[in-house]
Amino acid sequence: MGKRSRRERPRAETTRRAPGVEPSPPPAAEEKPAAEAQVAREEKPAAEAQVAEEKPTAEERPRVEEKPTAEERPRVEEKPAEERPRVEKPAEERPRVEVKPAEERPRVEAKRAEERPRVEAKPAEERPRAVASHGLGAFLLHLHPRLVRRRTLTLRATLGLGLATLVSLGLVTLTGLLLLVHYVPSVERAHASLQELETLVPLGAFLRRLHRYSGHAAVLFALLHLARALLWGAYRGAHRRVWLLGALLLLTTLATSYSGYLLPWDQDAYWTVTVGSSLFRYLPFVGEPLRDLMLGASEVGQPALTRFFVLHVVALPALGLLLLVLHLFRLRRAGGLARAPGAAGPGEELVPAAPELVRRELALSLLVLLGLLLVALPESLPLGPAPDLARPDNPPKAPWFFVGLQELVSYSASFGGVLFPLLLAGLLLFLPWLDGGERGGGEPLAERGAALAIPAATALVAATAILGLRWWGDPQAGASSWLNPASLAALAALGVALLAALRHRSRALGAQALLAGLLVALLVFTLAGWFWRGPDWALLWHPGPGRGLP
Amino acid sequence: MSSSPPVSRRDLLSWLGRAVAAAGAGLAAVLSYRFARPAAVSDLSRRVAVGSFTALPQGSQLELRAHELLVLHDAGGLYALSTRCSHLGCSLLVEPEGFACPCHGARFSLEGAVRSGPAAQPLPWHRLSLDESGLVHVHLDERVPYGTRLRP
Ligand code: HEM
Ligand code: FES
Repeated sequence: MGKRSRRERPRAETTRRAPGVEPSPPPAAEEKPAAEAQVAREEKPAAEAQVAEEKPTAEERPRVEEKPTAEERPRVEEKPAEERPRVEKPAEERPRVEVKPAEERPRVEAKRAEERPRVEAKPAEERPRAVASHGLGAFLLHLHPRLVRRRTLTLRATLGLGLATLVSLGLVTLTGLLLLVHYVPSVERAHASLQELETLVPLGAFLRRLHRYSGHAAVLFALLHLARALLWGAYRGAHRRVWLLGALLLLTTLATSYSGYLLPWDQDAYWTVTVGSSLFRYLPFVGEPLRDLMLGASEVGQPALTRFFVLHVVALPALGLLLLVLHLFRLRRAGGLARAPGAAGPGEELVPAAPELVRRELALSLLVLLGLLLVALPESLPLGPAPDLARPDNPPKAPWFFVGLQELVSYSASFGGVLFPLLLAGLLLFLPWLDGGERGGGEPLAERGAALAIPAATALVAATAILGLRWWGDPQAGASSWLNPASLAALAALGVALLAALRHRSRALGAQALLAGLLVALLVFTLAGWFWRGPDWALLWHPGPGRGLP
Repeated sequence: MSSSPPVSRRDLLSWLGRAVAAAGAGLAAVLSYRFARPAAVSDLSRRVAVGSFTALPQGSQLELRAHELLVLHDAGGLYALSTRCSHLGCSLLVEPEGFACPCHGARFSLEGAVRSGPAAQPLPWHRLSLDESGLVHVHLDERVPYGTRLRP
């Protein structure tokens, strides 16, 4: 370990000073083991000391601050833990730390110079020591830095949605493990094994509901959590990767949920997967091979069930766990929740994570858990009939989180089923890079102009989508697979986003409005598919005879 | 730290390491794909007998649900078309005037032409043949051009 940090040091010295990336938010940095701190201390090269003597004067500093080039920045984020600036040292080393910053601190954090002293000067006895050395407390302590900003404790900071997602995922995993004891992944036995589970196994039906509903809750909370992070602008700078990993996590969660849909081998299961897998045929080049991989045959049958079983039970959860760990790790590495540059005030002071934050998290977790148990308690969710392989229900509805896609696909498979989702997924994954911003966020709609642009985008896109639906429902309207409610809504979103971006000269605002608009469009189409489509997928509320038979 | 070469050697090694890792991952992906790809499907010719020609008078239609197939006899002769929606594969509902898809609302005429909805392709027609005993067979894996009918 000592050797390693010695070798890496030079690099660290250059990158550490990059401004704008907030390399050293105290909360994330303070856990450094004493041993390392020592190495670091011994290693303090003479050169650095020298620099310290030629300490730049106040007027020179800004110039120095601009020095690091853009290429250096990404490296800062990759910096392994042991290279983090030594901010929080054991109390007896304090003085040294206070002296050393003279040459580097102002450069790193020139903007926040005023708040620094407050942080550093926190009396040693205020810092928690040995809050918990065992049990759950110790575990949570390792998830959190020892100190967090007071703001983190408030509900407004996160709405508790990430945690709610986490709890739902935990519950879905536990209940899933139990279901595995009885479920048989075979075309002949799957449906019957669940019937037995429901009727013969004590708590079987309850566990099955609990598994379903916590799976739904995980998807729902993840979507809300995404919306929260989007509106709070919490995806910039060091939080870029937090967002990217989160988006991948969402896609994995969706895929897990979808793959689970086939397992009961009932009417819904069969037709949902038949239609869903056919979508791949519209994906150029990779579509057919992917479909073959998924189904293991040309039709949905036993090979497909086996493959979906493996995906649902092992492969996707494992991937999700990996992504989850990285998501949380990156969040911590980014210094905790996103915050505006130079944010100051009562919310910004550091308080111990335990017991305050830990206690709140436990309370929220219990609340979510209780809610899910209550939802699963009453009887509901009867197992569908065994599949009629020749005739779907009329209309067959996809799981709620794919009903929006089903609606889109009813305009056109290639536009609604492939292009629109791919664009949305691309924007979702790479939003932080489209945004291009380095810092900031943490407060709802804090960007200049966002308080107007986001509601405007929402209203306009929703109105366009609904009007588009009415118009599209009219057989005389001359709609086509490229001119349809979805393309109109997407155009509206693009228009508002461009307008907002130009008016406020802010790419960041444009990016935020665009994703918000597209998500609103998806929401409207989901509602439309769920509530407004009847037999033969006809619009229920359309004034005319709908798109009846010619 | 004494000289710079070690740094560049290290860079080279790390670059090489990454290249090897990427190549390995690529190879693993290709091999996994080949492993998981469905094994060869049987190419036995698939055909079903639907009854004797005389049992299918003009104006009659016969639905073979299990095969997602409809055999019709109109003024032009006998033909068979698939009742699997050409959009995303739902089974179509047979109605007097044509076919309706419950999944996303595509409509087809009795000859399989798209009337409305998201489907872009017409319904495929299957080859019919008549054997010596007068039985009509539908060849499930052979298509014929739109409008090819079987006449006595
Ligand atoms: C699917 C499972 C997910 C889980 C379990 C999860 C978990 C968490 C947790 C526990 C936090 C801490 C703060 C909080 O509670 O909100 C967090 C933060 C965050 N997550 Fe997620 N997340 C998931 C998906 C996502 C998705 C889909 C996105 C967006 C694409 C995302 C983006 C973020 C961002 C940007 C933060 C930082 C928030 C801030 O700095 O204010 N996450 N996540
Ligand atoms: S599958 Fe028939 S319209 Fe989509």
